[in-house]
Amino acid sequence: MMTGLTPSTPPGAAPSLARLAYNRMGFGPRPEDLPGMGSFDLTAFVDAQLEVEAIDDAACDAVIAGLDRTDPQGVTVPPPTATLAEIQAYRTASDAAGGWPNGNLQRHLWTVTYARALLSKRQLFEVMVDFWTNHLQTNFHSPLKYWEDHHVIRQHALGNFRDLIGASAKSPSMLYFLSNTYSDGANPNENYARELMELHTLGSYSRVPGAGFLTKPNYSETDVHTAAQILSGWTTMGSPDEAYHFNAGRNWPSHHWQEKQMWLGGDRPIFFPYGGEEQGEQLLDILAEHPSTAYFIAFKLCRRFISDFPDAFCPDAIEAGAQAFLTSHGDIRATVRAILLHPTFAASWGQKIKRPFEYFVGVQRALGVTEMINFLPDDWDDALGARFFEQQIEMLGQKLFEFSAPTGLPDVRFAWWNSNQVFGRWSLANALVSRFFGDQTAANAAPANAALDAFIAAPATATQVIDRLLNNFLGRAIDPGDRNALINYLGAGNAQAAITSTSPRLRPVIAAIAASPYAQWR
Amino acid sequence: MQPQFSRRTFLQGCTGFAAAAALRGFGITHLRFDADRHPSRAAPNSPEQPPTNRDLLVLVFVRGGLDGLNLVVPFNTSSADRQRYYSTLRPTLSVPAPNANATRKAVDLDGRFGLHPDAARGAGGVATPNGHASDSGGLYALFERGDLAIVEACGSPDITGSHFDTELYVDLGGKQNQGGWLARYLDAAGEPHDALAVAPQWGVPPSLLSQTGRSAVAVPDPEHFGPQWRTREWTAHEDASALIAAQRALLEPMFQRGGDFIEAVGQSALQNYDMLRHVLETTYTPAAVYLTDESHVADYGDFGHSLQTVAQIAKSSLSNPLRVATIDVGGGYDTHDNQGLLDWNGNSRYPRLVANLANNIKAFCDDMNADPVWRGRFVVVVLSEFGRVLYQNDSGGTDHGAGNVMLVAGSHGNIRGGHIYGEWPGLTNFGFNDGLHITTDYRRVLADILTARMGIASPQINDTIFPGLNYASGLGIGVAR
Repeated sequence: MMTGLTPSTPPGAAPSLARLAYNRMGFGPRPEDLPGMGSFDLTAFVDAQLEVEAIDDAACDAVIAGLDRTDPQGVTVPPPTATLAEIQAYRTASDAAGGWPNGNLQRHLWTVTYARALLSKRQLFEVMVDFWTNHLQTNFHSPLKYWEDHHVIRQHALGNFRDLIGASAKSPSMLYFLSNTYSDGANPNENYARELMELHTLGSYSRVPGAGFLTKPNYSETDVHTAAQILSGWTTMGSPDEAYHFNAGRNWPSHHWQEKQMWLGGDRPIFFPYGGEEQGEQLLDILAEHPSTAYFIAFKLCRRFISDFPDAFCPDAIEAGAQAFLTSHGDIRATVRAILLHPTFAASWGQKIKRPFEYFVGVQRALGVTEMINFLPDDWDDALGARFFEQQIEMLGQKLFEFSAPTGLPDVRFAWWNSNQVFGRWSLANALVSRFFGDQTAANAAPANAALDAFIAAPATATQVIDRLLNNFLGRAIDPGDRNALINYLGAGNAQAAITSTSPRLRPVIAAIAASPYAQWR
Repeated sequence: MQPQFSRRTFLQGCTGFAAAAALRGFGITHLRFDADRHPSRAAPNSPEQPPTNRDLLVLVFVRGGLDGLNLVVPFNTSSADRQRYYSTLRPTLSVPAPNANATRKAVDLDGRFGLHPDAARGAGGVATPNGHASDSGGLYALFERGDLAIVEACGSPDITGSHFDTELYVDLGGKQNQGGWLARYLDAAGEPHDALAVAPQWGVPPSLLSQTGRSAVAVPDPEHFGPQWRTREWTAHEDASALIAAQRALLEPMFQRGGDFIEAVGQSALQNYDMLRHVLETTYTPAAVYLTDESHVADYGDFGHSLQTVAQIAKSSLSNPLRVATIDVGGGYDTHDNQGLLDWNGNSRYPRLVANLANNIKAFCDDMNADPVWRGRFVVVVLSEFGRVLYQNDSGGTDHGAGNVMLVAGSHGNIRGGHIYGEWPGLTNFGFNDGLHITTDYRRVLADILTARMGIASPQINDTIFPGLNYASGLGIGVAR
């Protein structure tokens, strides 16, 4: 029934299951991953990735710890594990130095996030961090996003869903982002209460299969108002370090001390006894246990890992994920495992394309690069420096921790493939090759570069180099005409031409493969 | 030659909900939704400038829910409304009436409604703090010269409390539809498959999502289109253009290996690049000043730049002239808290939002009118997914409401401006979500313009563009050609 909905079979051969797994559960394989992909067991791979604590990531951690955190004014940005008080102290120092603390914190968090995507062996964990970062979107309009990334998102990314939304509900960044910090019981601000139900848990309409699927509302407008009253007093107002606290008192924004009831799509009303903070905890319990939440989270995970259209392509995988979620009471690992091991995952080639973040890091990983750009320095004079790459990322529209709609960034191809992406990814590929393998200048269009020679195993023939590049970037056969054209270009008509880093056509051909339509599939 | 996009067959195969769920929230991609601050086709003098039987339509979608009540202020619609607005609903978030003893106050339009003063910046007698060269009377000047129609209490019958659902339903022209209404307009008008539709921003909104293989162009801005500009930045390679050409020669056949979404967009990107590069690489000097200064606007100048790009492309004498353009405006219209009102020295959020819209729409009209070819040949329509709750909340803001104003700006008599259209429902009863009652379906306003100015017959509205609307007559805004 669903085969007709397959959007396309991408030109060229399909990749191996191993390659699909590396692309979907991570940011694509690195050259050192390739030899081990011959004997691949999906279950073992998923289980190993989910057992994240057992993965030795000391090398990546050392890189993160060694990053230069000196901001453009010479003040040191605190590490990602910083407390609210440390972040506050940095803001004060940065302001005093005439700096832009929010921007600097954001830039260091980019560096850390990009570096982990590039180097961490916990690839699935990093993908899940990105997933929840978008699911529970907030941004650097508040510097408290910096705290949230470590203490909320990373803390619970593969933990329990109830714990995650509980931490998010009390996260200062979320309290600001969706205005709940200002919500007063007498006339509450509905912003967070609505998005908590619409975006974080239930979804607007029932996601449970059967009658009412996507037509029966999960809550009424009155429920939104009541939920806002229930959550009133959950605030940062009056807290010296902007930490969460519950405002039980009379001063604004105070809690609404009344018993309440909500409908929430059920047969009978749900009562919330007279109380304070426990009313909100009760609401979070109800939302986390609601069947529509299980199906909504499973739907979004399937959209992330399997298909842009999971309702049509893989309803059984949604069902498997939702059942795992329900029986485990929101265990994220169990839910993800059920989805990734559902047979539709292995059959989903052609269902997803890379978004700019995955594309950027994926190109670097395919190139075998181990250095991540440090986004903190103010290096406008460096033609291939941090600020230049920040601009490139902005042009491509996926600046992390910046999106201002609470939906998080879209996860479907229509949003990420258009004329701007065609040119932007092409340009980025050229820039990355130049940055990491030596710039092509008027004086020297092909400077000798040891890393590049090692990357192509120079000296090698044009044919050998193209096949090696295709294996690194794609791992699947492309149209023979396209392969021949690449060889012909690189060897200037001689397939046996000897190629090294000083061959002027090498860098352009690498970037062309990286920018090709073949390389956009995830 | 024109391939069928996968999304066509794919979306047709999906349930409407599956398609809608996939698209939801994607119209606001790359948009600063709630941020506060922070072969050559050029044929000069083609006779088809603009297309002979229709105007250029520019759709401006204010994403986030514009507080229309404080943009077009009902200062004297009735004594009950007056009492409600100033005393009950908006005690600290109301724009003083034109006759108030205040420096900053509404500017009278018709004795009943007045414009927020930042929609009239530079008009005679209007106090204009934080002045700017683009202050030339804004929406007020357009209204006074008959080039602006205001429609009150518009909205979508598909409204929900969700931005993302409601925006998508508006983009689709009705929640049961699976493609964008602007794309269906191009179908109904019989425009060729490669008719130029531009979103002068990072991405293409769902209103232009085509089920018939059309491909709109996203042009972030003139300097950021195509591979060439970036090449100049990443390398001093003297032969960069040859390098790009060599890469293109490798990539273009790859884009022709498949006819699906990824490949088709790649092909059309290269075609449109060939067409537009000569236009966009030329320095454009607008005939009016746009407002893009960060000292005045909260979207980093995106909206002003986008409108200027539309004017630049429109005026460039392409043999395939610009048919439609659509712009998403952001910068913080979702004013749940600390909305601001009139103050430019303290909380200037709302004044900035208003000034951005008003000064730039005025600038675009003046810029286009300066070219005799375009005089009387363009229409700008401004809409938002919903208005806001009639009363302010306790955090100095307003939550998601219902009915809202729509604006229609025209040129040299192609619309009947200088009037406020629509049935005013009053402020004494609440509509959906305690917002303004919706009395005019937003699609009737669009259909009015499409039939009067865009070469569309009424049956095409109900058959193709807005199925289910049962459109019989418009509001009389567009002047029939």
